[in-house]
Amino acid sequence: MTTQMGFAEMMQSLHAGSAALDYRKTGRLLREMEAQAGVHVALMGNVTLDLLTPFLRVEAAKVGQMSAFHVSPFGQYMQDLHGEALQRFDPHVIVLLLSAQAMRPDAFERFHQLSVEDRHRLRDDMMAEVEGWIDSAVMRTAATLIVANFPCPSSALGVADLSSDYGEREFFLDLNLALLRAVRARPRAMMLDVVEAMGRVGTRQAVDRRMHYIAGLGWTDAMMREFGAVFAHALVGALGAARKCLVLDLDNSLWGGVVGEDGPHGIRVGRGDMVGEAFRAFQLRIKALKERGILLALCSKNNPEDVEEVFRLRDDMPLQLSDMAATAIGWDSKYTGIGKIARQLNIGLDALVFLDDNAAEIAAVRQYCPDVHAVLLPPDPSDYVDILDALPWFEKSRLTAEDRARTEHYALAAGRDALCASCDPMDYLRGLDMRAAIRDAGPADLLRVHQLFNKTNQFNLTTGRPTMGEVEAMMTDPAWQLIVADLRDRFGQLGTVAICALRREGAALHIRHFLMSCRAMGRGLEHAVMNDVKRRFLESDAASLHGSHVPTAKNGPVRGFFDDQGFAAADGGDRTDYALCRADVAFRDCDWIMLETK
Amino acid sequence: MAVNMDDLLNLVGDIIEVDPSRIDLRLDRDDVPGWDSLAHLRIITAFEAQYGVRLSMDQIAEIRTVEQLSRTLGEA
Repeated sequence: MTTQMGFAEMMQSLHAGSAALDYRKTGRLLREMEAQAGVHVALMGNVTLDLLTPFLRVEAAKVGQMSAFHVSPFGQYMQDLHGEALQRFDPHVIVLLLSAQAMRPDAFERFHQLSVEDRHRLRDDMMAEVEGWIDSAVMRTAATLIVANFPCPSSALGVADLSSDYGEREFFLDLNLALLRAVRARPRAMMLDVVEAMGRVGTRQAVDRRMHYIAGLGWTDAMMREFGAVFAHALVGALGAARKCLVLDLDNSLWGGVVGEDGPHGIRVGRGDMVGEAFRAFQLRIKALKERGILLALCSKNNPEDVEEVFRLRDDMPLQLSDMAATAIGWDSKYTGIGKIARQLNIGLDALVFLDDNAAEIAAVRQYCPDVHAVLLPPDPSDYVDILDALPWFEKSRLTAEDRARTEHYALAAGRDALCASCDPMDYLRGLDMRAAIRDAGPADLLRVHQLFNKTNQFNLTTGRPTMGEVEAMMTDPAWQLIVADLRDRFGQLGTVAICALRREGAALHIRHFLMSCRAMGRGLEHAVMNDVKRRFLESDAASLHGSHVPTAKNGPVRGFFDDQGFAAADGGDRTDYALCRADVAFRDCDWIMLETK
Repeated sequence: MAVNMDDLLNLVGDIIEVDPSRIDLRLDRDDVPGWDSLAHLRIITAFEAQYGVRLSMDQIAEIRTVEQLSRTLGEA
């Protein structure tokens, strides 16, 4: 019919953020492909949600998530949680979008006649309903819940509202604060900041009252598009789909000017110069990404000595070489340098975002490394911070202790590599003085375990990606045993780095998931975990222990893992199933890891 | 303002996913496949964006054919 654009071409166009991108055409093509969608999104609320799906569909695709939608009937956000349709749909995420005015029409029509006590009751009553919904959704689904907050309407009292005791403005600030706290207290819920999104669009450009009266959702296309964008940001967080590393160009990206020509004191960055201030602000923003657990790397065409000199002499710059997990500085092409960085960090190209001010470099990276998300910086450095903020790729629903210490982990890894280079592998492992705690996962592990499940590609036998709700079920359902391993060595904590999920089915004990963070690979920890699994197997009354290997493009390191562990293989087509009977259990030696109990 | 009927038919056809050459200018939207209430809103907002006009709620409700849509530009 009208759509001739191929999928690959469309994704490229989405990827490049093409201004010519036709929203309608793309939305249609995506809808036709909905059957292949990997992410199930349910929309619930008391506004006309159908208007939003085309926008959510396209914005989700921009972050690489093909989505299918279930839209609950208008206003039936409570009832639909109990419906069969939702159970069958099995959502990964549920978005709850409520209009405060539609929730309590009588109260809001006469808000200014209500007593202060009645307004407090109104807030509590609305919060009870929303919290009731969240708790019910947590119980009835395995989805992550994305709950929108409430924009404040313009007040009928004008500026006097601001000086009134618990006026409308104060009411909404308080309601949204209560909502933020309620959502924060529930690990499987996230807040969607509609108030902030509307501010970015600008209320005059965001609200179309005609559409409120005609259609039951008074938003302009611009607002629905922005809603789609904040949804996409939340989705990356909810699915644990954030990219791992930001690769940065130097000249005219991190500072103004060219170091090879302007010298370390000629480049513009720092206080007292308007352009220098803009680059300084950008560096501070980038440095803050480290708090989210994003690795930073440099890829620049320069003499390495010149770059080192800049960092040595310009210690007034927010970013320093010690902030970088990897660097590729020289005269190779950028895509070659980016490949080196990925190998050095042991992560895939699809875990990288690259920023550069040079359109030719960006085009070459898009051509030769299409998995890298390459972003062209705009001409003026004062716009750089906004460009970075608008990227959805670094969103996390919550930060874990591992996130905050990630760059440090990689720095420690460099210390370990130096040790490794200097001695025989076995001496190296013994020299690390490793201590592991292999234990049953508890509620405090939920976020880290969910994160590991969703970002581990290499040492991952089945590459299952359970939702947070499914992880919770593994912790509570007696048929499951969810085992985690924490590791530390003489260089420091590596944190929780391995997961094994066992499921009892009849007389068989199945290893449904077995995965290990790349930061722990090559240390033999997998043997210690498998020994623990085998011990659990022998202590149970199960007759056999089973495992599977599902090959992917990335999990080459686990090929032959179960063979190596003494299992017998059975051919299973796109997967290999393995079995081990009690008599064949053999433990593997890994005495270089000392086991601790926690 | 003069309106190019082909442009308008392309706009409507694109939204309701019907070949523009098969849309009857005078056919009531209830009888045009795909022109449901949601599509109607999308047609109106796309029309407003393309021609830089803003229709009243009554106009939006009263437009039942492509021809009536084109006539709002004369009124605007």
